[in-house]
Amino acid sequence: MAAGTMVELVAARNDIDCTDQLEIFEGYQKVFVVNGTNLKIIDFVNTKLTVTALTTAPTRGSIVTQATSNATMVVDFVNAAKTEIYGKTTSGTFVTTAGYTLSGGSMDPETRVPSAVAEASTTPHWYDYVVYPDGASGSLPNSAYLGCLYRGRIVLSGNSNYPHQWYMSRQADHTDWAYVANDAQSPVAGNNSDAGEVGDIIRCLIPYKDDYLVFGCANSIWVLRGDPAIGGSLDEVSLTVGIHGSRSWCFDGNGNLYFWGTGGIYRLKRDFTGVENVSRVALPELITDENPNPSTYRVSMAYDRKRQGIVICVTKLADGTSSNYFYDLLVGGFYPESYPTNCGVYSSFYYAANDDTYSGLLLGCKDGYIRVFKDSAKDDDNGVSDTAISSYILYPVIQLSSPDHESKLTSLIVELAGGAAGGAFSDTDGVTLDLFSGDDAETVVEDVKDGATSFSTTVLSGTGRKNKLRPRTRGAFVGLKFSNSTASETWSINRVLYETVKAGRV
Amino acid sequence: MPSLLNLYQRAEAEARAGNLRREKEVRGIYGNLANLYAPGGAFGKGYEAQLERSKERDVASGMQALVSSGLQNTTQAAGLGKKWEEEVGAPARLKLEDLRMDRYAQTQRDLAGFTERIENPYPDYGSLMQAYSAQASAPQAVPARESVTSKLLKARQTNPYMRSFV
Repeated sequence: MAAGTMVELVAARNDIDCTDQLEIFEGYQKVFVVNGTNLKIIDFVNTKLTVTALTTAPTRGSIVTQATSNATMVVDFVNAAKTEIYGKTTSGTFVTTAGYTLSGGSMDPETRVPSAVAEASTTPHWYDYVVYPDGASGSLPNSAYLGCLYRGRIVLSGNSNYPHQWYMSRQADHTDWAYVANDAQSPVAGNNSDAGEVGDIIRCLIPYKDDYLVFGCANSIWVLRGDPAIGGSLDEVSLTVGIHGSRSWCFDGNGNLYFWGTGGIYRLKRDFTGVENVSRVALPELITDENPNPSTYRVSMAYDRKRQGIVICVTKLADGTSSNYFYDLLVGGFYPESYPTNCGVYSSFYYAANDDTYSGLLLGCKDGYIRVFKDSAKDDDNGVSDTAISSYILYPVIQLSSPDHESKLTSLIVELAGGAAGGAFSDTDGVTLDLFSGDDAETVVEDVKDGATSFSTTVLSGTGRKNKLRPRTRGAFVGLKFSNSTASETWSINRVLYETVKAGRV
Repeated sequence: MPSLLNLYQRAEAEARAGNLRREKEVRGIYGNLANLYAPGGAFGKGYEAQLERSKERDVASGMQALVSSGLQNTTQAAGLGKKWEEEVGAPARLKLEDLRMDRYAQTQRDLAGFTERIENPYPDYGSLMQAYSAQASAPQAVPARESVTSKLLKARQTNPYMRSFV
């Protein structure tokens, strides 16, 4: 595998509304585009034959053969006008030679010769997502903003007129939406509620393999286990917790579901043994602080397999301003971040390439670029320019002595990362150390948060163990803030050692 | 001679009338049977009623199962009746219809056989002529003359004032 170049699918230009919510999902070697009334397909597998309008389209799944060339295809789809036949070529090559007529599949007439032949391997086909034109395939919902593939069915939801409804195509046939066929693969539509009630507004569809499908609603969560047409069941997971939006969820490496819910960030274990708020202790005011209105903000979440954590991005759709968090699954800590407005994340996706060089978490950004977290980069890419990374960390506030005594910080030893200068390990850049003290921990934290003047400021540079500092800071509690906002610099600390002496009562 | 002919004719007319009466009666029975088995007939009404009741019961059970599985608010619920018809109702009705038509056809066959077996008996002129011949050559029976005693007995029975030694 080698690095490729992205190109525009020209046929899609002006055929979708990028100012509106747009979701895509894959299935049957196609990408399904769900964009309100714009329901489209990007076809990566079929051969497209353009013909003069047929009276009767060949039946889906039938074999169409071309005379003389003897090319054959399995018919997958025919457009509504019956002028385009899409099928998987199974032998030979279709041509436009006069007299090379098409036949088979009960098509009528059998005198058509393709006026054009296009292969998806050259350029993916772009066409309207509609039902098969046989008059017996029902109809798709008029509008949809949510979609996914589950158990071989195309699942659509987010119909503005029926926001509580979900719709499923026939299994293994994305063109059949005729409900109540009453077989085991029958198309099905419905909502999530107790008998006779209208369900909650569906905000996201979360399929987990072919095992279950979670419906994240505004104020509740439901799960469909199995298939609705044969032995499946639909049950509520929570009637008090909802999910923010279509992208505000992700699975970790163990199959646990994380999502941005009505009260913070939640984890739903893969065995459905309860919904747990994992941000409640560390970020009790998360929802109040962020207050992301679903109509103006997008919350996207993605599991970074390399860093074993979850990147949570809260982005204002209008201008790309963001407030983000990295939730480290190893230590259970939340690390707040904000990105340049050009880098405001609208979508995120972990791309697993054969070559690990190209694997990583992809971030679709406000300016149209797809970005990645690059360990070697020392600045944030901001389009035409770079932006210095401004970062800080407050070490856990230290109680220096017994509860009613103060102490004096007599020595402080900092070990910066990188070992010796140069060598095999990456060296840290400099870092600034600010010392704060107070009679209680909250005062120390508040001073840091408010940007109050610190007791002392020291700039550390170079790698490895630094010279012993003698700050002589006095107080019951001490806080150490390390920071760096310099362009082209990043930093890292191995550990901090200190010594104290008692200094009287508080 | 004319009296013998009349006897023959009367007997033949009585026999024919009797046959026609039986034929009409048998045709009536076949007609009733045909009406019973004909489409829209009464045959299987009870079974059909039982099927409907069975449908109600099964659809209700199906709906309960959907409620239990949380899928009652889906198109699966709307399809319960259709599904029942496809899986149970239609096969049962077809079987009933097959049976009905089988019996209807049998009735028609029986009627056809009956009609086929009907014979119109023509006068047996040979017998008639034999009867005539026999009548001509045989001694003629002369009615016996009534005796005096017999007359007296009759008179005694009818006249209570008459007493005799007889």
